[in-house]
Amino acid sequence: MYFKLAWRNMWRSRRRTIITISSIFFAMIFAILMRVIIIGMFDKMISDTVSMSCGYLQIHHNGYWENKSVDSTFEETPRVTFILDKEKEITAWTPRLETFALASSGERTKGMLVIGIDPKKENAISKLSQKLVAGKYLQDSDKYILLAQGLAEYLKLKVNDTVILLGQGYQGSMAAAKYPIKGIVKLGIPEMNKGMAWLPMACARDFLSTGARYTSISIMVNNRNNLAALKQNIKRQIGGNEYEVMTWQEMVPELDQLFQAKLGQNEIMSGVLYLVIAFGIFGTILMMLNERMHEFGILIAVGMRKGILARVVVMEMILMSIVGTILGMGGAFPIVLYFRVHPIHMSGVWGKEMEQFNFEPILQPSMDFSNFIIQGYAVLSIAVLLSTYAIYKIYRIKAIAAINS
Amino acid sequence: MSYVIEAHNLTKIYNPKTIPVYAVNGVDLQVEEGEFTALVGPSGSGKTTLLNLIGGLDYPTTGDVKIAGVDITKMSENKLIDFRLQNIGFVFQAYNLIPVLTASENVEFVMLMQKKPKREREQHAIELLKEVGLSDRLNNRPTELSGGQQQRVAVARALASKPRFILADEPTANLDSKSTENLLDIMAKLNKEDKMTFIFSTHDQRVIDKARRVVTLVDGKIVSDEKQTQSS
Ligand SMILES: Nc1ncnc2c1ncn2[C@@H]1O[C@H](COP(=O)(O)OP(=O)(O)OP(=O)(O)O)[C@@H](O)[C@H]1O
Ligand SMILES: [Mg+2]
Repeated sequence: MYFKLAWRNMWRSRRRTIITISSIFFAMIFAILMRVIIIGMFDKMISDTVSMSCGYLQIHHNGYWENKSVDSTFEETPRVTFILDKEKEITAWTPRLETFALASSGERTKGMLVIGIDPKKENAISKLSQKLVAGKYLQDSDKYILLAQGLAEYLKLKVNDTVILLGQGYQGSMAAAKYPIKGIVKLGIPEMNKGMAWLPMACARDFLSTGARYTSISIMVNNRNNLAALKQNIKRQIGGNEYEVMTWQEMVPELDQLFQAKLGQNEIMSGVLYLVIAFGIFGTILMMLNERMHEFGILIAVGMRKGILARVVVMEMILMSIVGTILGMGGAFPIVLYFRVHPIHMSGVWGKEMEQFNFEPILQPSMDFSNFIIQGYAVLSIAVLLSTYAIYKIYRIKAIAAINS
Repeated sequence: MSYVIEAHNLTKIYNPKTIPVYAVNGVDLQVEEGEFTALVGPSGSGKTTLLNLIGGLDYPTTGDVKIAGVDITKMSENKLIDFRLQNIGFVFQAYNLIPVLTASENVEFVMLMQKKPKREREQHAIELLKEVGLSDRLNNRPTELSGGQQQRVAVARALASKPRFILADEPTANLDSKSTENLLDIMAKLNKEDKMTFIFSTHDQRVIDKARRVVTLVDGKIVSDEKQTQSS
């Protein structure tokens, strides 16, 4: 009956309730959309970046990250890969042997990152073969190279043309080789598209004279929110200090910082929306308290404890917020789903702006439902917080004065 | 004979520090079970104040009020709320009911607060509304009832907690003469048949005529206290 009472009270001033609920509804939709778009943007950016470069987690020789030298490599070790294979959180891993080198077409020369890969394992992570715009993907035994599209364009090279690589090999040796281009891949992230190339592992080892060595093993995971625990877990299993395990946040801190900064901005924007909601709810509470003083007085006079009265009133406010929140989530869901399936390709100024920040100019919202829940919690917390004012007022009611009001 | 209500040397002073108003001034009053008593007096004579003190809605400046032997003037506010719930029925001048609840839900509500089981609440509410002649209005909301009908629901609600007595401050003030008579007849019937004790304040001579005891207040003091045989 208390619930019934709260529910009916809520619809007592139908118009006011509808206005309050719709303000929550629209603010929820905006807050959710803003958040899932930002998170979706970074999800893509982070996953594109880490799948192409370092992985969510990376195992490398202790000290490698400091100097990135091919001297800090490590030998293939079944002990480590065995650990990775049986860890359930890990969806894929791939060994890499990478270094900076000069690529030259004879006419033009450019510094770039050249990566020795296990073509099958690499493809499971970075889906390189799907990014081909010309030619074919690498095989283990190939003596070919794969170029990023921007790099190929700069060097004015096409499939089957030859590219010359110059660099520093293992223990100071001179590295020089030339490979015909087997394929050209287009990468979403502009910076990467301008400076990456891939060789089959054997070629890369040959080029750098490293023997059976890697610079790193990059690891992909199910859930990137559990990385710290997984890192510790892997570290403990490997033991010793020959190897170092790092998270993507440690390896590309600027990306994480940008992400956190954007999230922060987003939270400020949401905060403004919530302020609007808060004013709406508070106004409703004030008017409600005012209108119902007489009734509250009667209720207390006939024996209703203030605690119970307060509970009914708070229930009413929370009920209203829950209705607004659920409607908001329900309203946002199809919109998010639609843009998830049909991502927005940004063009013009906005697209340029995104590219400048090294984003692929595509907006594809995150479907992670926790983003909906977080906004819901925020609204409900506001309602609960503001309801304490109603509780305070109710505890101060003097029955007679209230009845006479 | 023990009394349901015993007020002793009851005084209520408003604004004691500025311009003191002796709203109730040294009142002694005893009420026996089964009384049907009217509290009368000119406007501002202290009727409402006295009823509030007896009903535990307000604390006296001095003096005490015993309900069935229990001094209520020393009780904490929360204790007093519970005490009112179990012992005292109230009917106010107007707008007694919760607008969003139906007549029977309004009556059930006090029993809900008394934690009575649902079945009992529903049955008892129907019985009570029948007693006040509203068995055909169970599911109407207050706005769908006339002023007189609303006051009858308020009486039914006051009865629902099985109180020791019912206090009614000008229950007929907003009613036309027909509704007034009807409400008084119902109260008189409940008093006669169920021995329910009623104390009500009024300005209305026809209401005063129905009372069996008339207590008159002037300037916060009882100036007369008379038993009268009921004019039929
Ligand atoms: N809250 C208050 N503060 C100050 N004075 C008050 C207050 N309530 C009542 N009074 C004063 O106390 C006196 C008694 O008032 P009370 O309401 O008890 O009279 P009443 O007999 O019920 O009058 P009426 O017939 O008009 O209802 C009046 O002089 C009134 O002005
Ligand atoms: Mg009065």
